[in-house]
Amino acid sequence: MNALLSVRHLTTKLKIDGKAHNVLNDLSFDLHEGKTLAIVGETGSGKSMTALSIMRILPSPPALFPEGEILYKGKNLLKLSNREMRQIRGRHIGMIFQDPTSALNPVYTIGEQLMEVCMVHLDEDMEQAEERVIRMLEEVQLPNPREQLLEYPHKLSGGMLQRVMIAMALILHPDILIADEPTTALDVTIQAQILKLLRDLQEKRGMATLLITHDMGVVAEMADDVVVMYAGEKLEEGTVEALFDQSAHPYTQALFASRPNYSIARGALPTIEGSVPTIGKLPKGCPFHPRCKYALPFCQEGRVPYFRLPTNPSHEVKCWLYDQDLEWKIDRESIIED
Amino acid sequence: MNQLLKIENLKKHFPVKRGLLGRTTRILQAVDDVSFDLEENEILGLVGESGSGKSTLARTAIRLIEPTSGKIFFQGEDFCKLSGKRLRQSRQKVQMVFQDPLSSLNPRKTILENVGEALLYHKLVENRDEQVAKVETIMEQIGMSKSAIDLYPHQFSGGQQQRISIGRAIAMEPKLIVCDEAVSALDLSVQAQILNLLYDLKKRLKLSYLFISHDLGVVRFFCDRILVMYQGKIVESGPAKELFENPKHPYTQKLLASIPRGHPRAKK
Repeated sequence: MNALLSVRHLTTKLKIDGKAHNVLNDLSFDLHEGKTLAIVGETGSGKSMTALSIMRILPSPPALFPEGEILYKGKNLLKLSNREMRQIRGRHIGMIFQDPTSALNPVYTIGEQLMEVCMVHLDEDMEQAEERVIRMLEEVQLPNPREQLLEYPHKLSGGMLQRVMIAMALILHPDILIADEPTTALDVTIQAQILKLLRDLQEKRGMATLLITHDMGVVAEMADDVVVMYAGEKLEEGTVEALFDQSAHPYTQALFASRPNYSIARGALPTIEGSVPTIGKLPKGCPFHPRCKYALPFCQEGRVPYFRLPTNPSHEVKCWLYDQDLEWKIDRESIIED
Repeated sequence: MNQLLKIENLKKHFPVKRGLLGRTTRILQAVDDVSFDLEENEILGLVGESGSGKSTLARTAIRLIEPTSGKIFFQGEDFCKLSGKRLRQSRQKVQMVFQDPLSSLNPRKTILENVGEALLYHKLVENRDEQVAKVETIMEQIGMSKSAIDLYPHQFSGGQQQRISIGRAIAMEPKLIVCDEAVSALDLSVQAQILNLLYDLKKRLKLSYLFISHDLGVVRFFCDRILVMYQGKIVESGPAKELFENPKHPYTQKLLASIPRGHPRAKK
């Protein structure tokens, strides 16, 4: 299957105090039509930076222009002019953000903000734009869309605003939707509604979704494939079933184990010692090795390649434990089983 | 077990003012006739959506906000009748840990001052040497290095900052700690560390927690008993396991049905 969007060796750096630090390191993945790829990771893993790099809306300074390739229908987005890129944003790739209250302009009505999108991109007049906006708001199931058009953002609840954001991202029928923590700011009942809406819209329109989240529950509900990120690197990639059934990287395993689970005694949750490395203090070698309980001497130096699991070749892991050719001084099976 | 906190018919109403003259147009019943008990050594969960009144209930229950009406008994004493010195003494026994540790710690004070300031105020220590010694013991209890006491809050990670907030709370030798979304802003791996710490401290220091959270997975895992709050009222309460396995109130059922599945194959 051909990928709609291919990210290849994407490297993004921030320049702080005259020194460039990697926030994304050699990141590659594919996004397919009608599928949802989830990027999961903790704070500082670079998952939002990935979205901002694809959209080319990185805060600059301190961000430097990304290196690598972002191929959309054969075009490298990183080679386009700013003018060409403006045609891609919104029209071909839509994006929704975590906090809808700060993503909308407080001094314009909902209607003005949505209609502007149609008038700029589609060259429509007010009436055409209004009709299109109302149809779109009906699609995202906002009650009384005609009246809501005249309201300012502060009048609407968080869940309603997120529906408006989704409407704005999808009104031009993009092929790709990037959703950066779309439900993190919402209550669990509203989250369930918004996730269902996103699923329904994806099914109807066949778009590809890049879902950025830290919530494993949202991943289980939404994703077809999952990329696990840590300190700007992809540590593991596989189908959602593979990730939940046979997480392979020690980081992913530890992350799953630390989820509150009522079969574990309170006070005995498995934890990952230490914390996520901060920018500029990345360890050499595998970024996870200082916290990894299986770390081996050669994990501390050099680049770790990706290994495919022999049982499931679509499942990639960036960890020496899965190197089939290495002669192991220790009993490897027992390490991984443990 | 002994009752630590008893709340009877607690109400907190806020007037909603509108217009130029600030006329009261309506009364918002943020906490509407709530009664519950919290026993010693108990972890009582409080769940509900934003705007349901969880935080207002918790703050009113410990008189950070004055209740409109109702009774609060803390360790058998009528908490609403206390004033002056007696109130300050009782307040020391109730501490709070907030969601965002960075904004709840004073950025211009070192960890020693942040954690140790109230020790002098409440005369738990006599002088500065004792203060330093006590804060160092607390640092050990919260799993941090003693040498960190001269640093400032921004020099720590989010998880460490939350440890420091917890340290500030236990410094007062409290009986009850109100945790208002205390683990909600933390990453999964850090959240596990803090939950373990809270449980460990509860056992060692014989604490009780009123644990507010919107994360139902965490609440089920961590709490003994749960109160479900909706529009200012407690609509259901019960032991954690029972409440999750057999929710009675329609709102609780709706809330539980909204929790994302734990596994992709468990999809609805």
